[in-house]
Amino acid sequence: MTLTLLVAILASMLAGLACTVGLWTRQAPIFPVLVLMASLAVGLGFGLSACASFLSLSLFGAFPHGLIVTDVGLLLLLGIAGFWAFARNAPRAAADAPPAALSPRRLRWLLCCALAITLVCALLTFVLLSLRSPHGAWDAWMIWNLRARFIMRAGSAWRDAFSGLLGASHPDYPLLLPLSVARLWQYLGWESQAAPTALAMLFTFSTVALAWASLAILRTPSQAALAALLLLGTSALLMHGAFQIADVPLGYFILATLAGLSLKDRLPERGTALLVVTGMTAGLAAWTKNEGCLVLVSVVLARASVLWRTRSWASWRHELRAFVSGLAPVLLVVLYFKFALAPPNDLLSHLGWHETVPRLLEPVRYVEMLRGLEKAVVDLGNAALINPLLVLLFYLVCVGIEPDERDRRGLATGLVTLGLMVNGYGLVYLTTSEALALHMANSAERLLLQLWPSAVFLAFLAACPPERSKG
Amino acid sequence: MMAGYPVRVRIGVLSVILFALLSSGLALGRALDPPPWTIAQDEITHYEARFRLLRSALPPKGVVGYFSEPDLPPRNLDWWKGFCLSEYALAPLILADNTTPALVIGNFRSASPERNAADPTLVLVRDFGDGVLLFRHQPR
Repeated sequence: MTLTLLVAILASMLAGLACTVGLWTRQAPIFPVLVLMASLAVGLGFGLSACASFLSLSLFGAFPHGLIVTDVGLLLLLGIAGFWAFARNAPRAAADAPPAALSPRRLRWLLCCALAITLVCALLTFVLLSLRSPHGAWDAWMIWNLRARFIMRAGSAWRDAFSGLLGASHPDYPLLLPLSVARLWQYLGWESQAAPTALAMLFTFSTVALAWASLAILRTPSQAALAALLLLGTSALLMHGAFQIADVPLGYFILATLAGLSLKDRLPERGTALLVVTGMTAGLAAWTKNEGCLVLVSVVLARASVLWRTRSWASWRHELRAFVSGLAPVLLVVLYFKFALAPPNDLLSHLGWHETVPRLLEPVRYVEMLRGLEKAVVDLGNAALINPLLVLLFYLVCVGIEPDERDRRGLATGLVTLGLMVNGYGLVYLTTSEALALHMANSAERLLLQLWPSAVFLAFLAACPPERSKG
Repeated sequence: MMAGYPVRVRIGVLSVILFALLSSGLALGRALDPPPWTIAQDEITHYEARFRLLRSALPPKGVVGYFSEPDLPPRNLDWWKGFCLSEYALAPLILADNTTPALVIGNFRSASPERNAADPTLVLVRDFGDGVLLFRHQPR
């Protein structure tokens, strides 16, 4: 079973890797570039496989091993495209010179040891929590794994998964996770809980790897290690990851999008490839959870506003073209799902003018929302020794803020994106037809968790690296 | 270890390292209390085992009714959890939270429940034990 699962995961990752070969460069340190490509391959591979699986089910219906056949087709297609991109880019990549940016030896050893110990503890914790709850938390089994079961078990009646009678399980939610789980089950031939667990593990630890690799390229190895330590020490991230909650993969895609835009500013010769990948990850955020649509809108608005301030119109047109070419295929799949199959969203269907406007004009709802937000921030640190947000702020106060001039646009894009998203979440809470306090108690901490990896990445992108303060 | 760095930088770096080490150690300790291998079965796997025989007696797809203890009002958390777990166990069958469909599942906490309190037209098809029953409507 383990070998089959490994093959299924590798098939997806190879497809994802084919999308990232255009990022290969020797202008940055080789190991972080390889880790960046591998961690991006997880999300891109599973995300694009889920898109292809959905198209296959919609066009040809369910047939035995249909998802595996689709996988092979996708792998071949992306493999050829990736080989072509690599052959085109390789001569240029080889000509680039590797920069040498190593932290002082003792600091490097200290951070390496701490990172190794923390990583082992985090992996063990993840495995133990998964053994305790192999079906995940309520949302995992009630929404994502239930949908995967429908797809796996229902055969030609797979569309029953979107019946209005299943309203409690949010049948309008997108399908990246259910289709990924169903695909792994089809490889295995049975519904092993090892499949969703492995998927959750890959997304959780790829988030940390992605933050580490991006910061190792953009800043210094020590900044990267400290960011990874902070993320691994965030017990809420590990817990929600092990409980197979979709907010962790969504957080991964938000981070991938913002890190990709920052890397684009730093590695201009890989700019187009990075923008295409960024478009894909933004689209895959919308294919993971409904909040991903807000991510997409926020990123586009944020980037446009940043480039408008710097009057980079030509740059904006070029960026938009490349971004849309990565986004379009995924977005078309999401739109097709939303308009052809998904029932109306429960939150949006209760948003009539007559009910919504009075809710927006009620001051008490704003107070209640701020209280809910405060509780969510506290909850984020509940499982940890101390709230990780406090540790991050304390670290920034200690080392100071000194962003690289070249990272300013990426940093501004990230901060505006997160700001727009927080406002978007706020608006959803203010207008919700559900009891506000209960709605926030059930979801606000998870929404913060979606933004947390990106917030850590941006904070360490702005922080002054310890090496620079050395006397 | 960090000679040559200003004190504030040393404190900042060490605070992140200490936080990560202690937090991950604490999380590991919590995950081991009690060790998962000492727990016989998780709640959902146990719930699914209750429905195994029932699943084989039901059609592979379609809609079936559902009812539970009369003292549990619909949308009460216990009722809700039972309903959702039943849906999860029986997918791709769709559960309706009423007794209208031709076949109706009774899911009770007690092994010998009050059988047809929800609808007097229901007749018992089979009692699968452990509070799981299958009913159908009496032919008129």
